[in-house]
Amino acid sequence: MNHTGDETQERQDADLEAALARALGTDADDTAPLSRAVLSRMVAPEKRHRPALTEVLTAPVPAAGLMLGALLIAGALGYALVPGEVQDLMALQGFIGEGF
Amino acid sequence: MAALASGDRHAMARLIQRHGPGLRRFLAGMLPAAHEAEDIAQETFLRVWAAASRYDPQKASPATWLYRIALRLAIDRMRRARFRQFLGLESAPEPVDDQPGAEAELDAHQRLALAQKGLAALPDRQRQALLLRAVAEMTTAEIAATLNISPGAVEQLLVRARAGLRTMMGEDLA
Repeated sequence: MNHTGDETQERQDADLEAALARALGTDADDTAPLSRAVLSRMVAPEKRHRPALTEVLTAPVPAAGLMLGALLIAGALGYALVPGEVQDLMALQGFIGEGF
Repeated sequence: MAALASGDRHAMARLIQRHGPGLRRFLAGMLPAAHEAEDIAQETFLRVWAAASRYDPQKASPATWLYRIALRLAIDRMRRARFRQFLGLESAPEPVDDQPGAEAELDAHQRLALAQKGLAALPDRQRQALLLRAVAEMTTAEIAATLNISPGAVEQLLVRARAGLRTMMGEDLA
């Protein structure tokens, strides 16, 4: 009795899986377009393309790295130039007084 | 795989003929957009072509290796799609062809959409295990190797996935 129950369950499972496979691709058995596309991409060298905005936004690490690098360089430059700027300001202050 | 590693394009054509149908169905169940499933199917075979020399038959069967690559690519694509959705950059769904004579195609589209809806409601691991069994026709051991889990865990996932899909879909899928 149990054996029959197991067989019924297995048949129902197989039917469900077969229905799922059918629903997921009536034209999946035709592999010619896929084969053509893959073989032509294997022959043609991959062109390096500019990443679209969405790619930059969804994979932001390289863009964020560049931005961080630029910020660090700008910060270092600013730090290096500050003493000159301060001297200029002090000279200006001496020239026009403290009341400005 | 040895033929692929030596640059035999006919071997690639044979591999696509053998695993292409199952892989396309698997990706159609993983990714709702048809063009993305097709894109990842192509990308999977290209990765196999590029990495064939590194394939180790002691570690995995060709099918297991192929589906592992596809699974990783699909998961990565899904993450990007979710992020695009979060940013509001996700494109609109593809329009259904309403030309005369497209009724059969419409029916197929509806069945596909229904199956994808049911699968989308399942937890990721259950969906992956069920797809590997249903469309890739893998054994429990092969699914376990592909998902890197134990055979017992695969059986549990399959039982839950089938029950979940039956509850959600009823007789609609038959």
